[in-house]
Amino acid sequence: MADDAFTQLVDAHYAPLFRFALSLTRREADACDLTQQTFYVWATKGSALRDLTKAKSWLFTTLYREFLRGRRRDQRITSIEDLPPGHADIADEEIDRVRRMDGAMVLEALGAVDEVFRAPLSLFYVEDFSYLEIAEALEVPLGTIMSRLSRGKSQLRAVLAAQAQPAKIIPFDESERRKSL
Amino acid sequence: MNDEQIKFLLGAARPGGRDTADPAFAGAFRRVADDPKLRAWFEREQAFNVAVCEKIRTVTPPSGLREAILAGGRLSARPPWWRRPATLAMAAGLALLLTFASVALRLTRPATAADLPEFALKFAGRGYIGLQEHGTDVEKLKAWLASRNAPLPAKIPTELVQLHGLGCRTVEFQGKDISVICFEEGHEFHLFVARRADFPALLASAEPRFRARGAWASASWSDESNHYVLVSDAGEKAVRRFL
Repeated sequence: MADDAFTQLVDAHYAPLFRFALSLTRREADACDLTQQTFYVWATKGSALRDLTKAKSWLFTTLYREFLRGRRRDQRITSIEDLPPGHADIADEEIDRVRRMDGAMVLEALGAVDEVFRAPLSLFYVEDFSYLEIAEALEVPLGTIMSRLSRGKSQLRAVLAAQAQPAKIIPFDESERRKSL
Repeated sequence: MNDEQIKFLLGAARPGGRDTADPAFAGAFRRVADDPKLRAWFEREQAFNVAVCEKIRTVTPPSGLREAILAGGRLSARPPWWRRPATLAMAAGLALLLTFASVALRLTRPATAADLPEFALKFAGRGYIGLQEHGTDVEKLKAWLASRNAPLPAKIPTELVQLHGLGCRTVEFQGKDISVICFEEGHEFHLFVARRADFPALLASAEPRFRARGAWASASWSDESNHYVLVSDAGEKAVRRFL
């Protein structure tokens, strides 16, 4: 692949790929590694992809595969899938709360969502993927993606609500205060 | 389709009406248009999605990542060795030679020898190390590595320590943590440290061995505790001067 074409590909996709990676790994250094590893795989293998209109999906799929390859699976994922979906309606104050937050906090909240829901939800929010594109990128059936989006959104709302709670104030023991003087 | 099913379906619809033409949503959208309660629900749902999307997009990648990706891409985009004409011309002869060489290697080397220098060259060659700790003081960097129970160098070549320290990180290789300490002097020099006990199959050698991969060169050696690989894009000559 020519340098110019590779540069264009990087410019078009590296920022959303980084955000997706950050939502998965929750650490900037790891997200950088994962983003770079994705383009490294492209440079060594992806240039064989004939249909360049599929490059975006290919890159996100590759990043997700690299992420899965790099971390140890745990059993919790299976049990989380058994939870019923949440359908509580979104209140106006929840929308206002998000509008008041900064981007890093929202991304942090997304990072706290269980991984099995986080990946599709991140693609939905980070890059505006449709549920069809998410299913293709993550190689998961359509119905499962819809279910994970629904459950993931419920979790995200719960995390955002928890973030907005003021920290509990623990009364300081007066006798301890005197001892410390 | 009841209200809950409509909410479940349209929860996957993107903001901005981009999915209105999707046949899977058609029935649900019709119900939303006819039902004020559902319409109010859908507007809030979409407003929430827009707010989250907009906030997340304000997060920007760290400076230097783009350049590192481009540098790594250029390095790895070189034609593979098996496609180079000169190599193809010699392929038949080499195949025979390699057959003998592999037999000889199997006799002298453990079968699962971990190729640490190759890993170090590949890792550094991507152009982005992703330092987890920044600093110029090598002792502080070692303390940081010690706090993570990462391998510590018994001795770093004196001239290497005199370079400008950049920082350090740990990285997993074949399921074990290894340490990377980085220095700079016009070019970058990365010292990879792996515990010998973690890689019993890796051949230990006090004598430095050199390897090159494009502009990158490595020197690898061992002491009683560790295996070391020094990697730089300054070439073999620059690497040799530290050993």
